[in-house]
Amino acid sequence: MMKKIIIPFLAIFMLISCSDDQKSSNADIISMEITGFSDQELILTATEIIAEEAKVYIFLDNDLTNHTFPLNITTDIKFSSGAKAASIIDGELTFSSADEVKKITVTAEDGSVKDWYIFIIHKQIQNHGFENWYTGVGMNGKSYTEIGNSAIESLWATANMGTSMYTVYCTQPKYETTNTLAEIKTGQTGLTAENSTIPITAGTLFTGRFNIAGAIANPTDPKKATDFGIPFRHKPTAMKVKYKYQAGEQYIQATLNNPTNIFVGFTVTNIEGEDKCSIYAILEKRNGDNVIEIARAKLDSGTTENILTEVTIPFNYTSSENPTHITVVFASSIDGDLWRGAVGSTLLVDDLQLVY
Amino acid sequence: MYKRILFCFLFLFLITNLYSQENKFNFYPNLAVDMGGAIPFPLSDIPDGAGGTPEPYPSVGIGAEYTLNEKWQFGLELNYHLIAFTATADVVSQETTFDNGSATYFTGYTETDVELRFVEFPLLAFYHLKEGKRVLFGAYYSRILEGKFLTNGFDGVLSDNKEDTDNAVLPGPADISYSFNQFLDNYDYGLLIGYSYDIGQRIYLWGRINVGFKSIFVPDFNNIDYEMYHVRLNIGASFKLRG
Repeated sequence: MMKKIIIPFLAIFMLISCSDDQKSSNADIISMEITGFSDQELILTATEIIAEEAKVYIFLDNDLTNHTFPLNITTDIKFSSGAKAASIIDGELTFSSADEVKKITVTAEDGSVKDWYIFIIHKQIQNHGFENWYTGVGMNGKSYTEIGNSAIESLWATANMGTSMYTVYCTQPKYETTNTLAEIKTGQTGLTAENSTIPITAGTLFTGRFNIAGAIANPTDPKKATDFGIPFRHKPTAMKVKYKYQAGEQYIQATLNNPTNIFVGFTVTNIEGEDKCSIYAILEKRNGDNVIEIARAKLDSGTTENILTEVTIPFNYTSSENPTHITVVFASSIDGDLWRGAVGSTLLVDDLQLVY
Repeated sequence: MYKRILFCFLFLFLITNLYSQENKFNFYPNLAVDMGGAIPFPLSDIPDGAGGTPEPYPSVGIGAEYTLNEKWQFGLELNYHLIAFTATADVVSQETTFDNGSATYFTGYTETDVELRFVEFPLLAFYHLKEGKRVLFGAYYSRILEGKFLTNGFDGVLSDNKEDTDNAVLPGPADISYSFNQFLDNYDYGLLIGYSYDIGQRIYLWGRINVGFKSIFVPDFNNIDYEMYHVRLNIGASFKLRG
Protein backbone atom coordinates (compact mmCIF):
# COMPACT_ATOMS: atom_id res chain seq x y z
CA MET A 1 0.00 0.00 0.00
CA MET A 2 2.79 2.34 1.03
CA LYS A 3 4.59 1.70 -2.24
CA LYS A 4 1.46 2.56 -4.19
CA ILE A 5 1.33 5.95 -2.50
CA ILE A 6 5.03 6.70 -2.81
CA ILE A 7 5.36 5.80 -6.51
CA PRO A 8 2.84 8.37 -7.81
CA PHE A 9 4.42 11.03 -5.60
CA LEU A 10 7.83 10.19 -6.98
CA ALA A 11 6.51 10.22 -10.54
CA ILE A 12 4.96 13.68 -10.05
CA PHE A 13 8.13 14.94 -8.39
CA MET A 14 10.26 13.67 -11.27
CA LEU A 15 7.92 15.21 -13.83
CA ILE A 16 8.12 18.58 -12.10
CA SER A 17 11.90 18.32 -11.83
CA CYS A 18 12.24 17.33 -15.46
CA SER A 19 9.98 20.08 -16.73
CA ASP A 20 11.97 22.69 -14.74
CA ASP A 21 15.27 21.28 -15.96
CA GLN A 22 14.18 21.48 -19.60
CA LYS A 23 13.53 25.24 -19.49
CA SER A 24 16.58 27.04 -20.72
CA SER A 25 17.97 30.10 -18.98
CA ASN A 26 19.90 31.14 -22.10
CA ALA A 27 18.86 34.58 -23.30
CA ASP A 28 21.44 35.12 -26.01
CA ILE A 29 21.49 36.50 -29.49
CA ILE A 30 22.95 33.68 -31.56
CA SER A 31 23.06 35.47 -34.89
CA MET A 32 21.91 38.69 -36.49
CA GLU A 33 21.46 38.98 -40.24
CA ILE A 34 20.80 42.39 -41.74
CA THR A 35 18.14 42.03 -44.43
CA GLY A 36 17.58 45.67 -45.34
CA PHE A 37 18.03 49.37 -44.66
CA SER A 38 15.59 52.23 -45.03
CA ASP A 39 18.37 53.98 -46.97
CA GLN A 40 19.57 51.94 -49.92
CA GLU A 41 22.91 53.79 -50.01
CA LEU A 42 24.04 52.18 -46.81
CA ILE A 43 26.59 49.43 -47.27
CA LEU A 44 26.82 46.65 -44.72
CA THR A 45 30.37 45.45 -44.01
CA ALA A 46 29.72 42.93 -41.27
CA THR A 47 27.97 42.21 -38.01
CA GLU A 48 29.81 41.00 -34.93
CA ILE A 49 28.37 39.52 -31.77
CA ILE A 50 30.41 39.85 -28.58
CA ALA A 51 28.53 37.37 -26.42
CA GLU A 52 30.47 37.97 -23.19
CA GLU A 53 29.61 41.68 -23.34
CA ALA A 54 26.09 41.13 -24.71
CA LYS A 55 26.83 43.52 -27.55
CA VAL A 56 26.24 43.42 -31.29
CA TYR A 57 28.09 45.70 -33.71
CA ILE A 58 26.73 46.53 -37.15
CA PHE A 59 29.57 47.76 -39.35
CA LEU A 60 28.66 50.15 -42.16
CA ASP A 61 30.95 51.37 -44.91
CA ASN A 62 29.43 54.84 -44.73
CA ASP A 63 29.88 58.08 -42.86
CA LEU A 64 26.60 58.72 -41.06
CA THR A 65 27.60 62.15 -39.69
CA ASN A 66 25.25 64.00 -42.02
CA HIS A 67 22.82 61.17 -42.62
CA THR A 68 19.10 61.77 -42.27
CA PHE A 69 17.55 59.88 -39.41
CA PRO A 70 15.61 57.85 -38.35
CA LEU A 71 17.30 54.88 -39.91
CA ASN A 72 15.43 51.59 -40.04
CA ILE A 73 17.42 48.39 -40.15
CA THR A 74 15.57 45.16 -40.83
CA THR A 75 17.12 42.17 -39.18
CA ASP A 76 16.70 38.47 -38.84
CA ILE A 77 17.76 37.75 -35.29
CA LYS A 78 18.17 34.22 -33.97
CA PHE A 79 17.89 33.81 -30.22
CA SER A 80 18.77 30.96 -27.89
CA SER A 81 16.32 28.10 -27.99
CA GLY A 82 13.03 29.26 -26.51
CA ALA A 83 14.21 32.85 -25.98
CA LYS A 84 12.49 35.90 -27.45
CA ALA A 85 12.60 39.70 -27.48
CA ALA A 86 9.20 41.34 -27.19
CA SER A 87 10.51 44.76 -28.24
CA ILE A 88 11.53 43.56 -31.71
CA ILE A 89 8.64 43.61 -34.15
CA ASP A 90 9.30 42.06 -37.54
CA GLY A 91 13.02 42.30 -36.82
CA GLU A 92 13.03 46.06 -37.31
CA LEU A 93 15.45 48.31 -35.41
CA THR A 94 14.96 52.07 -35.62
CA PHE A 95 17.89 54.34 -34.83
CA SER A 96 17.26 58.04 -34.24
CA SER A 97 20.96 58.90 -34.62
CA ALA A 98 24.24 57.19 -35.43
CA ASP A 99 25.19 57.47 -31.76
CA GLU A 100 22.08 55.70 -30.52
CA VAL A 101 22.53 52.26 -29.03
CA LYS A 102 19.48 50.00 -29.17
CA LYS A 103 18.76 47.95 -26.09
CA ILE A 104 17.08 44.61 -26.66
CA THR A 105 15.81 42.72 -23.66
CA VAL A 106 15.92 39.01 -24.40
CA THR A 107 13.72 36.76 -22.27
CA ALA A 108 14.86 33.19 -21.86
CA GLU A 109 12.51 30.24 -21.84
CA ASP A 110 12.64 30.10 -18.04
CA GLY A 111 11.77 33.80 -17.78
CA SER A 112 15.23 35.15 -16.95
CA VAL A 113 16.21 38.24 -18.93
CA LYS A 114 19.37 39.66 -20.41
CA ASP A 115 19.90 43.08 -21.98
CA TRP A 116 21.73 43.22 -25.28
CA TYR A 117 23.05 46.38 -26.91
CA ILE A 118 23.21 47.03 -30.67
CA PHE A 119 25.79 49.54 -31.89
CA ILE A 120 26.26 51.06 -35.34
CA ILE A 121 29.92 51.40 -36.28
CA HIS A 122 30.40 53.70 -39.26
CA LYS A 123 33.31 55.74 -40.57
CA GLN A 124 33.25 58.16 -37.65
CA ILE A 125 33.46 57.24 -34.00
CA GLN A 126 30.34 57.52 -31.87
CA ASN A 127 30.03 60.93 -30.15
CA HIS A 128 33.05 62.26 -32.05
CA GLY A 129 31.97 65.83 -31.40
CA PHE A 130 31.99 65.12 -27.64
CA GLU A 131 28.51 66.61 -27.38
CA ASN A 132 26.92 63.85 -25.29
CA TRP A 133 27.53 63.54 -21.56
CA TYR A 134 25.52 61.87 -18.84
CA THR A 135 25.32 61.97 -15.06
CA GLY A 136 26.92 58.98 -13.38
CA VAL A 137 27.48 58.06 -9.76
CA GLY A 138 31.07 57.87 -8.59
CA MET A 139 32.59 55.56 -6.02
CA ASN A 140 32.00 58.25 -3.41
CA GLY A 141 28.27 58.00 -4.06
CA LYS A 142 28.17 61.48 -5.61
CA SER A 143 26.96 62.43 -9.06
CA TYR A 144 29.44 63.51 -11.67
CA THR A 145 29.45 64.12 -15.40
CA GLU A 146 30.77 61.39 -17.67
CA ILE A 147 31.11 61.18 -21.45
CA GLY A 148 28.47 59.43 -23.56
CA ASN A 149 24.82 58.60 -23.06
CA SER A 150 25.35 55.95 -20.41
CA ALA A 151 28.15 53.79 -19.07
CA ILE A 152 27.08 50.75 -21.09
CA GLU A 153 26.44 52.66 -24.31
CA SER A 154 29.48 54.92 -24.46
CA LEU A 155 32.41 53.88 -26.62
CA TRP A 156 34.46 56.60 -24.93
CA ALA A 157 35.81 56.39 -21.40
CA THR A 158 37.67 58.48 -18.85
CA ALA A 159 39.40 57.80 -15.54
CA ASN A 160 36.79 59.83 -13.65
CA MET A 161 35.35 56.76 -11.94
CA GLY A 162 38.78 55.86 -10.56
CA THR A 163 39.42 59.30 -9.10
CA SER A 164 35.84 59.82 -7.97
CA MET A 165 36.76 58.57 -4.48
CA TYR A 166 38.70 61.82 -4.14
CA THR A 167 35.94 63.91 -5.77
CA VAL A 168 38.40 64.56 -8.59
CA TYR A 169 37.12 64.42 -12.17
CA CYS A 170 39.87 65.16 -14.66
CA THR A 171 37.76 64.93 -17.82
CA GLN A 172 34.69 67.10 -17.96
CA PRO A 173 32.52 68.81 -20.57
CA LYS A 174 33.14 72.45 -21.29
CA TYR A 175 29.90 73.95 -22.43
CA GLU A 176 29.84 76.80 -24.92
CA THR A 177 26.76 78.41 -26.37
CA THR A 178 25.95 75.80 -28.98
CA ASN A 179 28.88 73.47 -28.62
CA THR A 180 30.42 71.18 -26.04
CA LEU A 181 34.12 70.41 -25.80
CA ALA A 182 35.96 67.85 -23.70
CA GLU A 183 38.22 69.44 -21.10
CA ILE A 184 40.97 67.09 -19.98
CA LYS A 185 42.99 68.27 -17.01
CA THR A 186 45.88 66.93 -14.94
CA GLY A 187 44.96 66.98 -11.28
CA GLN A 188 45.95 65.68 -7.88
CA THR A 189 43.95 64.08 -5.12
CA GLY A 190 44.78 66.53 -2.33
CA LEU A 191 45.31 70.23 -1.91
CA THR A 192 49.07 69.88 -2.33
CA ALA A 193 51.29 67.24 -3.88
CA GLU A 194 52.69 66.38 -0.45
CA ASN A 195 49.36 65.54 1.20
CA SER A 196 47.95 63.84 -1.89
CA THR A 197 47.35 60.14 -1.98
CA ILE A 198 48.04 60.44 -5.70
CA PRO A 199 50.16 63.56 -6.40
CA ILE A 200 49.41 63.56 -10.11
CA THR A 201 46.44 62.19 -12.01
CA ALA A 202 46.60 62.90 -15.72
CA GLY A 203 43.29 63.53 -17.39
CA THR A 204 42.42 61.13 -20.14
CA LEU A 205 39.72 60.50 -22.70
CA PHE A 206 39.93 57.34 -24.77
CA THR A 207 37.98 54.83 -26.78
CA GLY A 208 37.44 51.72 -24.71
CA ARG A 209 36.49 51.10 -21.12
CA PHE A 210 37.85 52.26 -17.81
CA ASN A 211 38.68 49.09 -15.91
CA ILE A 212 37.79 49.95 -12.34
CA ALA A 213 38.66 46.46 -11.11
CA GLY A 214 42.10 46.79 -12.68
CA ALA A 215 42.53 50.24 -11.16
CA ILE A 216 41.62 49.09 -7.66
CA ALA A 217 43.66 45.90 -7.83
CA ASN A 218 46.72 47.65 -9.30
CA PRO A 219 46.79 51.15 -7.79
CA THR A 220 50.50 51.49 -8.56
CA ASP A 221 50.06 50.81 -12.29
CA PRO A 222 47.72 53.27 -14.04
CA LYS A 223 47.88 51.34 -17.32
CA LYS A 224 45.97 48.46 -15.72
CA ALA A 225 42.99 50.79 -15.38
CA THR A 226 42.40 51.08 -19.11
CA ASP A 227 40.98 48.67 -21.64
CA PHE A 228 41.82 50.51 -24.83
CA GLY A 229 40.06 50.11 -28.15
CA ILE A 230 36.66 49.64 -29.72
CA PRO A 231 35.55 47.61 -32.74
CA PHE A 232 36.33 49.41 -35.99
CA ARG A 233 36.93 48.22 -39.56
CA HIS A 234 37.91 51.24 -41.62
CA LYS A 235 41.23 52.57 -42.84
CA PRO A 236 41.32 56.35 -42.42
CA THR A 237 44.25 58.29 -43.81
CA ALA A 238 44.30 60.83 -40.99
CA MET A 239 42.47 62.10 -37.95
CA LYS A 240 41.47 65.70 -37.65
CA VAL A 241 40.74 67.34 -34.29
CA LYS A 242 40.45 70.79 -32.79
CA TYR A 243 42.57 71.23 -29.69
CA LYS A 244 43.94 73.78 -27.30
CA TYR A 245 46.64 73.03 -24.74
CA GLN A 246 48.02 74.84 -21.75
CA ALA A 247 50.75 73.12 -19.76
CA GLY A 248 50.62 73.40 -15.97
CA GLU A 249 53.20 75.56 -14.22
CA GLN A 250 55.29 73.09 -12.26
CA TYR A 251 56.52 69.97 -13.99
CA ILE A 252 56.86 67.21 -11.39
CA GLN A 253 57.88 63.59 -11.09
CA ALA A 254 56.13 61.56 -8.42
CA THR A 255 57.97 58.38 -7.51
CA LEU A 256 56.39 55.60 -5.53
CA ASN A 257 58.38 55.02 -2.35
CA ASN A 258 57.66 51.34 -2.82
CA PRO A 259 56.82 50.33 -6.42
CA THR A 260 54.27 47.76 -5.24
CA ASN A 261 52.73 49.63 -2.35
CA ILE A 262 50.51 52.66 -2.79
CA PHE A 263 50.10 53.17 0.97
CA VAL A 264 53.64 54.36 1.61
CA GLY A 265 53.10 57.21 -0.80
CA PHE A 266 55.20 59.12 -3.27
CA THR A 267 58.23 61.32 -3.28
CA VAL A 268 57.50 64.37 -5.38
CA THR A 269 60.33 66.13 -7.20
CA ASN A 270 60.23 69.27 -9.29
CA ILE A 271 61.89 68.58 -12.63
CA GLU A 272 63.10 70.62 -15.56
CA GLY A 273 61.02 70.93 -18.68
CA GLU A 274 57.40 71.39 -19.56
CA ASP A 275 54.42 69.10 -19.71
CA LYS A 276 53.05 67.92 -23.05
CA CYS A 277 49.70 66.59 -24.10
CA SER A 278 49.33 63.38 -26.03
CA ILE A 279 46.90 62.77 -28.85
CA TYR A 280 47.13 59.51 -30.70
CA ALA A 281 45.17 56.83 -32.52
CA ILE A 282 46.11 53.25 -33.26
CA LEU A 283 44.48 50.86 -35.70
CA GLU A 284 44.90 47.22 -34.76
CA LYS A 285 43.95 43.78 -35.91
CA ARG A 286 43.08 41.74 -32.87
CA ASN A 287 42.64 38.02 -32.83
CA GLY A 288 42.46 36.86 -29.25
CA ASP A 289 45.75 37.75 -27.61
CA ASN A 290 47.39 38.22 -30.99
CA VAL A 291 47.46 41.94 -31.77
CA ILE A 292 48.96 43.48 -34.90
CA GLU A 293 49.43 47.24 -35.04
CA ILE A 294 48.40 48.43 -38.49
CA ALA A 295 48.68 52.18 -38.30
CA ARG A 296 49.37 54.97 -35.85
CA ALA A 297 48.63 58.68 -35.83
CA LYS A 298 50.36 60.68 -33.12
CA LEU A 299 50.73 64.23 -31.87
CA ASP A 300 52.65 65.21 -28.73
CA SER A 301 52.39 68.89 -28.13
CA GLY A 302 53.67 71.21 -25.45
CA THR A 303 52.72 74.26 -27.43
CA THR A 304 50.43 76.61 -25.63
CA GLU A 305 47.52 77.42 -27.89
CA ASN A 306 45.33 80.42 -27.13
CA ILE A 307 42.57 79.37 -29.47
CA LEU A 308 41.25 76.04 -30.63
CA THR A 309 43.49 74.88 -33.43
CA GLU A 310 42.48 72.27 -35.95
CA VAL A 311 45.18 69.76 -36.63
CA THR A 312 45.32 66.89 -39.10
CA ILE A 313 47.40 63.97 -37.92
CA PRO A 314 48.18 61.41 -40.63
CA PHE A 315 48.05 57.68 -40.00
CA ASN A 316 51.34 55.97 -40.65
CA TYR A 317 50.50 52.49 -41.95
CA THR A 318 52.95 49.73 -41.12
CA SER A 319 50.80 46.76 -42.14
CA SER A 320 48.41 45.98 -44.96
CA GLU A 321 46.09 44.02 -42.65
CA ASN A 322 42.51 45.18 -42.14
CA PRO A 323 41.82 46.65 -38.71
CA THR A 324 39.35 45.27 -36.20
CA HIS A 325 39.83 47.93 -33.52
CA ILE A 326 40.67 51.58 -33.09
CA THR A 327 42.12 53.23 -30.01
CA VAL A 328 41.99 57.01 -29.75
CA VAL A 329 43.58 58.62 -26.71
CA PHE A 330 43.72 62.20 -25.48
CA ALA A 331 45.84 62.78 -22.37
CA SER A 332 46.66 66.05 -20.65
CA SER A 333 50.09 64.78 -19.54
CA ILE A 334 51.96 62.57 -21.97
CA ASP A 335 53.78 60.70 -19.18
CA GLY A 336 50.92 60.68 -16.74
CA ASP A 337 51.09 56.89 -16.50
CA LEU A 338 54.63 57.35 -15.17
CA TRP A 339 53.35 59.86 -12.57
CA ARG A 340 55.06 62.69 -14.46
CA GLY A 341 53.36 65.91 -15.51
CA ALA A 342 52.18 69.27 -14.30
CA VAL A 343 49.08 69.72 -12.20
CA GLY A 344 46.78 72.05 -14.09
CA SER A 345 47.84 71.03 -17.60
CA THR A 346 44.67 71.38 -19.65
CA LEU A 347 43.80 69.92 -23.02
CA LEU A 348 40.59 70.97 -24.75
CA VAL A 349 39.42 68.84 -27.67
CA ASP A 350 36.51 69.06 -30.03
CA ASP A 351 35.18 67.67 -33.30
CA LEU A 352 37.27 64.58 -33.89
CA GLN A 353 37.01 63.48 -37.48
CA LEU A 354 38.53 60.53 -39.27
CA VAL A 355 39.66 61.48 -42.77
CA TYR A 356 39.45 59.10 -45.74
CA MET B 1 62.60 27.15 3.94
CA TYR B 2 60.75 23.84 3.60
CA LYS B 3 64.09 22.02 3.66
CA ARG B 4 64.86 23.65 7.01
CA ILE B 5 61.51 22.55 8.43
CA LEU B 6 62.05 19.02 7.20
CA PHE B 7 65.50 19.04 8.72
CA CYS B 8 64.10 20.18 12.09
CA PHE B 9 61.53 17.40 12.02
CA LEU B 10 64.18 14.79 11.21
CA PHE B 11 66.47 16.16 13.88
CA LEU B 12 63.76 15.98 16.52
CA PHE B 13 62.84 12.51 15.36
CA LEU B 14 66.42 11.35 15.91
CA ILE B 15 66.55 13.06 19.30
CA THR B 16 63.29 11.31 20.08
CA ASN B 17 64.81 7.90 19.54
CA LEU B 18 68.00 8.70 21.40
CA TYR B 19 66.33 10.08 24.49
CA SER B 20 63.57 7.53 24.57
CA GLN B 21 65.93 5.45 26.61
CA GLU B 22 65.64 7.93 29.46
CA ASN B 23 62.66 7.16 31.65
CA LYS B 24 61.83 10.78 32.29
CA PHE B 25 61.57 11.69 28.63
CA ASN B 26 58.89 10.75 26.25
CA PHE B 27 58.31 11.74 22.68
CA TYR B 28 55.23 11.96 20.58
CA PRO B 29 53.99 12.95 17.14
CA ASN B 30 50.94 15.24 16.97
CA LEU B 31 48.09 15.25 14.53
CA ALA B 32 45.55 17.99 14.99
CA VAL B 33 43.00 20.26 13.40
CA ASP B 34 43.27 24.05 13.54
CA MET B 35 40.37 26.42 13.53
CA GLY B 36 40.70 30.11 13.94
CA GLY B 37 42.57 33.05 12.64
CA ALA B 38 42.92 36.61 13.71
CA ILE B 39 40.47 38.93 15.41
CA PRO B 40 40.48 42.71 15.61
CA PHE B 41 41.54 44.29 18.87
CA PRO B 42 40.07 46.05 20.71
CA LEU B 43 37.01 43.84 20.32
CA SER B 44 34.85 46.94 20.08
CA ASP B 45 36.36 47.39 16.61
CA ILE B 46 34.51 44.31 15.38
CA PRO B 47 31.61 45.71 13.36
CA ASP B 48 28.07 44.77 14.38
CA GLY B 49 26.86 41.77 12.46
CA ALA B 50 30.37 40.67 11.54
CA GLY B 51 30.87 36.97 11.05
CA GLY B 52 33.79 34.68 10.58
CA THR B 53 34.14 31.27 9.00
CA PRO B 54 37.28 29.42 10.00
CA GLU B 55 38.39 26.74 7.62
CA PRO B 56 39.67 23.68 9.47
CA TYR B 57 43.06 22.45 8.34
CA PRO B 58 45.21 19.65 9.75
CA SER B 59 48.42 20.41 11.56
CA VAL B 60 51.27 18.02 12.23
CA GLY B 61 54.13 18.10 14.65
CA ILE B 62 56.33 16.30 17.11
CA GLY B 63 56.99 16.92 20.77
CA ALA B 64 59.14 15.91 23.70
CA GLU B 65 57.80 15.60 27.23
CA TYR B 66 59.78 15.63 30.47
CA THR B 67 58.23 14.25 33.68
CA LEU B 68 59.27 16.32 36.66
CA ASN B 69 57.14 14.48 39.20
CA GLU B 70 53.77 12.81 39.47
CA LYS B 71 51.94 16.10 39.06
CA TRP B 72 54.02 18.06 36.57
CA GLN B 73 55.35 17.48 33.12
CA PHE B 74 56.92 19.88 30.65
CA GLY B 75 56.90 19.67 26.91
CA LEU B 76 58.44 21.26 23.86
CA GLU B 77 56.94 20.82 20.42
CA LEU B 78 57.53 21.70 16.82
CA ASN B 79 54.30 21.96 14.82
CA TYR B 80 53.43 22.98 11.29
CA HIS B 81 50.14 24.84 10.85
CA LEU B 82 47.97 26.23 8.12
CA ILE B 83 45.16 28.42 9.34
CA ALA B 84 42.61 30.08 7.13
CA PHE B 85 39.41 31.94 7.69
CA THR B 86 36.99 34.26 5.96
CA ALA B 87 35.44 37.16 7.80
CA THR B 88 32.47 39.13 6.55
CA ALA B 89 31.18 42.41 7.84
CA ASP B 90 29.00 45.35 6.94
CA VAL B 91 31.32 48.22 7.65
CA VAL B 92 30.65 51.92 8.00
CA SER B 93 33.44 54.33 7.17
CA GLN B 94 36.19 51.75 7.55
CA GLU B 95 39.34 53.79 7.39
CA THR B 96 42.42 53.03 5.33
CA THR B 97 45.21 55.47 6.01
CA PHE B 98 48.21 56.33 3.92
CA ASP B 99 51.64 57.12 5.26
CA ASN B 100 51.36 60.79 4.38
CA GLY B 101 48.32 61.11 6.64
CA SER B 102 45.63 60.99 3.98
CA ALA B 103 42.87 58.41 4.28
CA THR B 104 40.01 56.81 2.42
CA TYR B 105 36.82 55.44 3.95
CA PHE B 106 34.64 52.59 2.81
CA THR B 107 31.06 51.81 3.68
CA GLY B 108 29.63 48.57 2.38
CA TYR B 109 29.94 44.83 2.60
CA THR B 110 33.40 43.37 3.07
CA GLU B 111 34.94 39.93 2.85
CA THR B 112 38.39 39.30 4.25
CA ASP B 113 40.37 36.17 3.41
CA VAL B 114 43.28 35.33 5.65
CA GLU B 115 45.64 32.40 5.29
CA LEU B 116 48.81 31.81 7.28
CA ARG B 117 51.34 28.99 7.11
CA PHE B 118 53.73 28.81 10.02
CA VAL B 119 55.85 26.62 12.26
CA GLU B 120 55.16 26.89 15.95
CA PHE B 121 57.37 26.13 18.95
CA PRO B 122 55.16 25.74 22.02
CA LEU B 123 56.64 25.32 25.49
CA LEU B 124 54.10 23.50 27.62
CA ALA B 125 53.45 22.66 31.24
CA PHE B 126 51.07 19.78 32.08
CA TYR B 127 49.41 19.44 35.46
CA HIS B 128 47.77 16.12 36.35
CA LEU B 129 44.27 16.53 37.72
CA LYS B 130 43.44 12.89 38.10
CA GLU B 131 44.05 9.68 36.24
CA GLY B 132 44.56 10.45 32.56
CA LYS B 133 43.39 14.06 32.76
CA ARG B 134 45.68 17.04 32.59
CA VAL B 135 45.41 20.75 32.17
CA LEU B 136 48.10 22.36 30.12
CA PHE B 137 49.31 25.87 29.64
CA GLY B 138 52.30 27.49 28.12
CA ALA B 139 53.71 29.93 25.65
CA TYR B 140 54.53 29.69 22.02
CA TYR B 141 56.66 31.33 19.40
CA SER B 142 55.81 30.87 15.76
CA ARG B 143 57.55 31.72 12.55
CA ILE B 144 55.24 32.75 9.70
CA LEU B 145 56.37 31.21 6.44
CA GLU B 146 53.70 32.58 4.14
CA GLY B 147 50.67 34.79 4.61
CA LYS B 148 47.70 36.17 2.73
CA PHE B 149 45.46 38.98 3.92
CA LEU B 150 43.04 40.18 1.29
CA THR B 151 40.06 42.43 1.84
CA ASN B 152 37.37 42.90 -0.79
CA GLY B 153 34.53 45.36 -0.47
CA PHE B 154 31.38 45.20 -2.53
CA ASP B 155 28.53 47.50 -3.50
CA GLY B 156 29.79 50.28 -1.31
CA VAL B 157 30.84 53.87 -1.22
CA LEU B 158 34.52 54.80 -1.18
CA SER B 159 35.67 58.32 -0.49
CA ASP B 160 38.40 60.41 1.07
CA ASN B 161 35.62 62.40 2.74
CA LYS B 162 34.21 60.57 5.77
CA GLU B 163 30.95 62.45 5.48
CA ASP B 164 30.30 60.68 2.17
CA THR B 165 30.69 57.26 3.70
CA ASP B 166 28.92 58.15 6.96
CA ASN B 167 25.88 59.10 4.89
CA ALA B 168 26.28 56.49 2.17
CA VAL B 169 23.22 55.15 0.43
CA LEU B 170 23.71 51.45 -0.24
CA PRO B 171 24.15 49.57 -2.45
CA GLY B 172 26.79 51.88 -3.87
CA PRO B 173 28.93 51.67 -6.99
CA ALA B 174 32.31 50.96 -5.39
CA ASP B 175 33.98 47.58 -5.29
CA ILE B 176 37.37 47.63 -3.63
CA SER B 177 40.22 45.21 -3.14
CA TYR B 178 43.13 45.69 -0.77
CA SER B 179 45.96 43.23 -0.35
CA PHE B 180 47.87 43.52 2.91
CA ASN B 181 50.04 40.45 2.30
CA GLN B 182 53.27 42.37 2.43
CA PHE B 183 52.40 43.89 5.79
CA LEU B 184 52.03 40.58 7.62
CA ASP B 185 54.76 40.12 10.19
CA ASN B 186 56.94 37.03 10.03
CA TYR B 187 56.61 35.94 13.65
CA ASP B 188 54.14 35.72 16.48
CA TYR B 189 54.17 34.78 20.15
CA GLY B 190 51.53 34.26 22.75
CA LEU B 191 50.03 32.05 25.40
CA LEU B 192 48.05 28.86 25.22
CA ILE B 193 45.83 26.95 27.58
CA GLY B 194 44.21 23.56 27.16
CA TYR B 195 43.20 20.19 28.44
CA SER B 196 44.30 16.68 27.61
CA TYR B 197 42.67 13.33 28.16
CA ASP B 198 44.29 9.91 27.85
CA ILE B 199 42.26 7.48 25.81
CA GLY B 200 44.83 4.76 26.09
CA GLN B 201 48.21 4.09 27.52
CA ARG B 202 49.96 5.85 24.67
CA ILE B 203 47.34 8.01 22.98
CA TYR B 204 45.81 11.15 24.39
CA LEU B 205 43.47 13.75 23.00
CA TRP B 206 43.85 17.40 23.68
CA GLY B 207 42.42 20.79 22.91
CA ARG B 208 44.21 24.12 23.13
CA ILE B 209 43.38 27.74 22.68
CA ASN B 210 46.24 29.87 21.44
CA VAL B 211 46.12 33.64 21.82
CA GLY B 212 48.71 35.83 20.16
CA PHE B 213 50.24 38.74 22.04
CA LYS B 214 51.27 40.74 19.03
CA SER B 215 49.53 42.07 15.98
CA ILE B 216 49.74 39.91 12.90
CA PHE B 217 50.96 43.01 11.03
CA VAL B 218 54.41 44.56 11.07
CA PRO B 219 54.82 47.27 13.72
CA ASP B 220 54.84 50.23 11.32
CA PHE B 221 51.69 49.10 9.54
CA ASN B 222 49.05 51.71 10.37
CA ASN B 223 46.90 51.55 7.28
CA ILE B 224 43.89 50.04 9.01
CA ASP B 225 42.67 51.53 12.22
CA TYR B 226 42.84 48.45 14.45
CA GLU B 227 45.26 45.69 15.37
CA MET B 228 44.61 42.01 14.69
CA TYR B 229 45.75 39.15 16.91
CA HIS B 230 46.01 35.42 16.40
CA VAL B 231 43.31 33.42 18.15
CA ARG B 232 42.82 29.78 17.29
CA LEU B 233 41.56 26.49 18.61
CA ASN B 234 43.73 23.43 18.09
CA ILE B 235 42.22 19.97 18.70
CA GLY B 236 44.33 16.89 18.23
CA ALA B 237 45.82 13.65 19.36
CA SER B 238 49.32 12.64 20.36
CA PHE B 239 50.90 9.24 20.34
CA LYS B 240 53.55 8.56 22.99
CA LEU B 241 56.42 6.55 21.58
CA ARG B 242 56.91 4.82 24.93
CA GLY B 243 54.08 3.42 26.96
